Amino acid sequence: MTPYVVILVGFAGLLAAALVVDVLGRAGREPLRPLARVLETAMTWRAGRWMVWGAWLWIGFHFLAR
Amino acid sequence: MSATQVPARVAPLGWWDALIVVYAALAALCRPLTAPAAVAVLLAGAALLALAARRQVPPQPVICSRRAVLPWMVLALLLAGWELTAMLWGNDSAHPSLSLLLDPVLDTYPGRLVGYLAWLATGRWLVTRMTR
Repeated sequence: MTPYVVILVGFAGLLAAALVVDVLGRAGREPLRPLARVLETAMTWRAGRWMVWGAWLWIGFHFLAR
Repeated sequence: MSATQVPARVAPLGWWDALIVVYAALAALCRPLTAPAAVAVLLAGAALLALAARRQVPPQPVICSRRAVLPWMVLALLLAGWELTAMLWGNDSAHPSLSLLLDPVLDTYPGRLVGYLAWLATGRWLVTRMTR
């Protein structure tokens, strides 16, 4: 297995895990919650808002502009 | 169509949705690693941040427990760790980081269009979740 495949499988596994957590959270499986609900919670406090908006800006700049 | 059939109702697009689609279509014309692309991202980012700063929504109660947040924190840390691993391992075509993996997609106009749409829609959603 080449390093490329190892890295690709790692990212794919993390994406799959995130999807599983999100789907289970939407289905009401305790204690999981969907990502949107967790972000909403983070944005109820000031530092959380800064972090979420900062991450959003960074993602846009890093992937679309750089 | 028989008299009992009801035509499917499509939710109307709001002004913001239309603006996001038009902006994404134009911004996606800018190739990454160029000044126009940086301006396109920063302009949209500044506009949505300004909107978020002006928005006043009554504070909402905390809706997730720490146990609910923990899996997402772990996933975020694992993603950051894996990205760091790829970067330290080589950060080249044989050892690609996430951005290198996405480069072939974002090098195409449809790929960038989807990227801008997803990013701007997320930003719009974040604006609607602003509380003070």
